[in-house]
Amino acid sequence: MLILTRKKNESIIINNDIEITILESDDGKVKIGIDAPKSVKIHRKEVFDAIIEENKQAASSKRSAENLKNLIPKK
Amino acid sequence: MKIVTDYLGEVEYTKEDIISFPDGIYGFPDSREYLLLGEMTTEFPFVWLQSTTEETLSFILTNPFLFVEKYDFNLDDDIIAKLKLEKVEDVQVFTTVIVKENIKESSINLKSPIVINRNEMIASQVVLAEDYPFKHFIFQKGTDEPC
Repeated sequence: MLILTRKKNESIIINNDIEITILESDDGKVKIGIDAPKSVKIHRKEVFDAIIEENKQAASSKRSAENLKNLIPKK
Repeated sequence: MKIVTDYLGEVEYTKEDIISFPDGIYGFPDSREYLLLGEMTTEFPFVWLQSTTEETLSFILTNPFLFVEKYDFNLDDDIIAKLKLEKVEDVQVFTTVIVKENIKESSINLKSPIVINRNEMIASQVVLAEDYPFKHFIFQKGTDEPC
């Protein structure tokens, strides 16, 4: 992992078009500003991990139609 | 072309059936092409999203609007552009289903639905800005009936 030290209001540039700025830091928290093209997906890591975890469970779900029939809403 | 699935057996498909996921599905970056198998009916509101390149990779999808009364969200402009969406009629929204051994623990993922442009056959798993849960349990607590 590349480690850089930055002060408040200093930033780093990734790939020419992504700028990450340190806006605030105190008490163990860091506020970060990200300027990136719209097409760049940005997620908090825990959100990203949660999606992958849900997808992995979904992909390994019991696939039988028999099981699924029990899930159908009864109107 | 043919693919063998463990739930529908051998399935034949053509190029036109292939739905492309330019970004893949989160956690499965290697599969970019899928088929929607099965038919969504009121009696059986589920379809399978089957990878064409990995036979063992599939997801069960359902229509979330059957399970939640209000499910409203906006799509970002970049998603609309990526999916080449022009008409709202072309949009199909599905959620993945986790089917548990104990059926009452089964859930659908409302936070990151699969959005498909059926006209262009391009799809994406989007992450909604709206406050929806990753796990929406199909069965409400303490009942035997799906909600």
